[in-house]
Amino acid sequence: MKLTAADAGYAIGAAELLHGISLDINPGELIIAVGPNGAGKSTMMKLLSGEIFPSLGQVAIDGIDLKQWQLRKLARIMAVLPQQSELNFPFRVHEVVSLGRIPHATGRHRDLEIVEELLVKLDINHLAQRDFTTLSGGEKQRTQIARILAQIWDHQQGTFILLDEPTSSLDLAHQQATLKMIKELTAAGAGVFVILHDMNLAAQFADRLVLLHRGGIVSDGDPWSVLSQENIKRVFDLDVSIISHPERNRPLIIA
Amino acid sequence: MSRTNTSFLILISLLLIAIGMSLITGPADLSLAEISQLLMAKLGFGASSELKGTILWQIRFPRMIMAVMVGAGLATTGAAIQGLFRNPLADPALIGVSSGAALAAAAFIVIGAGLLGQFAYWDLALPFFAFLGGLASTWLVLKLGSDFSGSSVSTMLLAGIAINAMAIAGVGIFYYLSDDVQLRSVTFWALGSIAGATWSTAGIAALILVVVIMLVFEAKSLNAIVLGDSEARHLGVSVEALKKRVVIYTALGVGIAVSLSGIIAFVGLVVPHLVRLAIGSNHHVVMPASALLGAILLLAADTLSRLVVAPAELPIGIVTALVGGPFFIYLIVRQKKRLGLEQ
Repeated sequence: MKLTAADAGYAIGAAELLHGISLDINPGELIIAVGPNGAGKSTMMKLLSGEIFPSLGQVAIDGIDLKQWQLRKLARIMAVLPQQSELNFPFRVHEVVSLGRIPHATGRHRDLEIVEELLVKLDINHLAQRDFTTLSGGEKQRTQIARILAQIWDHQQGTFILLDEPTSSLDLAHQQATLKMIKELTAAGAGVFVILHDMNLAAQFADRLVLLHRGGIVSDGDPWSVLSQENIKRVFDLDVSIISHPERNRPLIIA
Repeated sequence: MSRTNTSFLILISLLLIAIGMSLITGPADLSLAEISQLLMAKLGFGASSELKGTILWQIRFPRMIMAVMVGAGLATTGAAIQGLFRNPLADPALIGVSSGAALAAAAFIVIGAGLLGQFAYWDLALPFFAFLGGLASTWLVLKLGSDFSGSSVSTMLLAGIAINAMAIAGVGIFYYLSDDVQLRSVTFWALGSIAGATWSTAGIAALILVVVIMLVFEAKSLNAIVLGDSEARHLGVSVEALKKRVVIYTALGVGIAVSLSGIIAFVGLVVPHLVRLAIGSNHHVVMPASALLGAILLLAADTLSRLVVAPAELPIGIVTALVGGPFFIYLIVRQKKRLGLEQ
């Protein structure tokens, strides 16, 4: 199983939002996309998840174009967290997580087990009976992440997880915990694509970084090669110093 | 017993009580004992009063069935539309079905006899035209709300507002054109009433049950779509097809209800809201519970409409609006308070 974008582009009328996107998401790999506002990160995720189809090139899983995939089948192997999720109905937290099981027919008992496991993993077990609409931003985000993970929890091998800024509302501890968990999922064989704003967090966890700028991939590779002073100057128009993380051999950007 | 099961038990008991109340209330005295006697007589046990039998079978029973079906239909479509629009304050009227039906009904009452000749005297002619009007305006809203990329609920909402305004203006034109008798019947139709229920109209109303059942089967997809269009898609739900199905079921359900009973306000809005407050938001529960509570409330409103100005009757639309209006204000105030807390 491999999720592939081959020279994919996306345009609305004359406005070209993405061009020449080529990327492989392999099982066991954590790819993190970074870039300035409006670079096309969220649009790229929509292309990769099959929410929109490329106007040029192709996006495919195992060589089969996403257009050909049955939605239900795709939902069983791919879980996607869009940037902002709104839910205006007073669902309880455990109910929201259980909605991740909609594409499956594994039975109520198994679904409940998965939900309980994820409530604990995402540190929202104490909120299980709370009304989702009354939660804080970070609590809502953890609940949505739990829902996404419930979708692929049974067979992580060969699944794809796409997350658009999953940590934007999380505190430092929950950011770290969430990314560690995502890392575990890649170790279990999932292919993961995450959009992050925090470059240092991205550098710390990514197997591969993808730097986007004006609708194209500027740089793609290991964190040291992507987060160079030249690249950051070019994309953000900002002079920064880059040092090595004192404990992990990862770049650390000081603006 | 779980909270959900308890709630359903209470709802079913309330429904039975409301049915009983509805059957015994009216200008002629008819007690529960007499009703059971009449039921037994119907099955061939014992004798009973001919007159009371006629009142029960020809007046009270069809009326009770009509109230149950219309109430269940309005409430279930309300719950589905709220889910589809992702807005707990949405109402089936948003897709234009009620106002389109009202326009067609007004047109039929005022100019129908002149244009249609003998056909206008068919007793189902008015409901038939009202139903067509409701479908036509919903189709227009659906068309206006869709473009190459699919349908947008916010565009549909705006289109619905415009179509509603135009249809109401159209009803106004027919008010202006009508003579006194016509004006009275248009007005009464618009205020909503199930007083004229017969077995043939109650039979048609029973078709609403099909819509209710179809919508109950959409519970899973509705649970997905309240998370968002793309979220639902990523859960394997074909969002475009779901939107079309829900709008069509709603147009059918509300179209039948409005065509037979006129415009009955606030049931579609308030009932699902009450259910969510009491039992939660999971559509597997919300849909059937809304059907039950809608039936109960409309039976109660109909019984009330027979009692308050007895022996005359108040149009049921006035009763539901008088009770529903203040409740709606309460919901708005409550929502405002909650938003205030978040800021």
